Amino acid sequence: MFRCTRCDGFVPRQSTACPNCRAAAKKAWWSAPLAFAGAGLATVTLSACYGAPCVITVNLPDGGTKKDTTAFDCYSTYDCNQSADGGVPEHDTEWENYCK
Amino acid sequence: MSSRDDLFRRFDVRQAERPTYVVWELTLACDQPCTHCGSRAGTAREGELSTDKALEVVKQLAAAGTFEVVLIGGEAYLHPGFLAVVRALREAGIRPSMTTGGRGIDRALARQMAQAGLHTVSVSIDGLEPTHDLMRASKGSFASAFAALGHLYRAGLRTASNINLNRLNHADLEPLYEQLKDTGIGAWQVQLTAPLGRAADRAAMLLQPWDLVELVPRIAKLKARAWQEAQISLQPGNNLGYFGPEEAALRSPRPGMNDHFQGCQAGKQLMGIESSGALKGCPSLQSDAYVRGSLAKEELAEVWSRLAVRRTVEDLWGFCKSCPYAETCLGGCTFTAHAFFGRPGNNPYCHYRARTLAARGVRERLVLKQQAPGRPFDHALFELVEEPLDAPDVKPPTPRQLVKRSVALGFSPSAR
Repeated sequence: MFRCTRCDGFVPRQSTACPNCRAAAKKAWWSAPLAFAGAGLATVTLSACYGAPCVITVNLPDGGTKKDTTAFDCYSTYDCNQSADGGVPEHDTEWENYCK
Repeated sequence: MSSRDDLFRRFDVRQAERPTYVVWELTLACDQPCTHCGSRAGTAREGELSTDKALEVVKQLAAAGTFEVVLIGGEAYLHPGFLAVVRALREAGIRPSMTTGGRGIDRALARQMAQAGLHTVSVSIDGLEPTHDLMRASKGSFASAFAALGHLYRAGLRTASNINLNRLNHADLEPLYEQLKDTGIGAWQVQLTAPLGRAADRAAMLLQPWDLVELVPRIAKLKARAWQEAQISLQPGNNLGYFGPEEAALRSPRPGMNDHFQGCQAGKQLMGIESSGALKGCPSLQSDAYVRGSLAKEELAEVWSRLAVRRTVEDLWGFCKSCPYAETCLGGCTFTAHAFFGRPGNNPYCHYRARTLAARGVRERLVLKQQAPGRPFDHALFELVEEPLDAPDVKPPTPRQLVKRSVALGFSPSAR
């Protein structure tokens, strides 16, 4: 599928018009590789009310911050200035990955 | 892709099938009698897995390649082996997380949970205080849920929240965000209340399909705002969305991405475990129709291949059969469609469908035809009635009206 240039909805490859706004299907030059790259990806939300998606804020040693939504780690903040026994479980390997 | 991406909860649906993400109901015992609870939780099931057996299951999950287990209930912390299971999951290299109402989580328990190695806790908050307490049938529930978020955050755990949206609470969405944004949560999951379990006994609570025409763009707008203002990642549950213009904005982890619904993943990458050991492809699937084995009698490796929910376009019916998105969507969320009609493949909770019908000047009303029998993860039966878009709509009283009414009659809001 590619994105409609008018309403931003998805347009199935075989459609001649956008199912949402009826605009004629126009593929942007970059749509093919983009569609290919994203074709098989799914974001898992584990059904109705279970689990949650991922995002993390990393407080960097230099005082800056970094937002990471594609990281394997989820939620909340990693403070690289805080030692591993300062509220972060000692065996939290993600903390080590970000901060060490 | 970076080396981290294969560990992110976003995956290629073409990868080998395995129980990557597992939702495990440790016990059906619960400390709140929520009016929309799909499993009708309250009392433990007969024959729930013991701690020893649960620890054996952890080993089987590790062998099967499980990446994350979300512990639920009931309330998972009411199982005597809760912390031992968390610890075992962590030691087995599986990410342990949890979804909870948070009623019993105090400072001490939050610390124990962090020490055991719990990775993330999502606290369910279903609206502002009057709405939440009404839906939870438990006065003080809202206050304890927010207190739990604080205890968990201060214990060093990553925190998140989730909400079940329906006609009682959808007006609370934006003001609830205002209250949540300063709690330290990093993520907020929004899904629709489907008529499963106790929610099936409260048809007036449910959204009507045409409500999605306004609701989905509202959620997409709030998602953008939450990310911009507070770096909170709002993600839709698997039963929300489906190919309206906001699909990519809703489904993608961040702006500028092109994710969309990829079809039900039950039994392909997901698995649900009931507290008795019963296995199904997704935790919310109706037990009668989708339980395909039990860990009390069999090994996971023996049952896994039976759990997948597979559909083709030929299996679809109603609006979904001729939908231009049919090949990809395949009728959306299985348990949601099954909850309405007793079989999947025709999903009335679809943004594209509601918009398309509205453009034709019509809408579909869900009308209760047969009550649910009253068992965990059961369902009622509904029929769809097509009517003019501007037909009269009798909405249920708001939570505030219900609370005022109950107080006037001398009842506590917590009375059931």
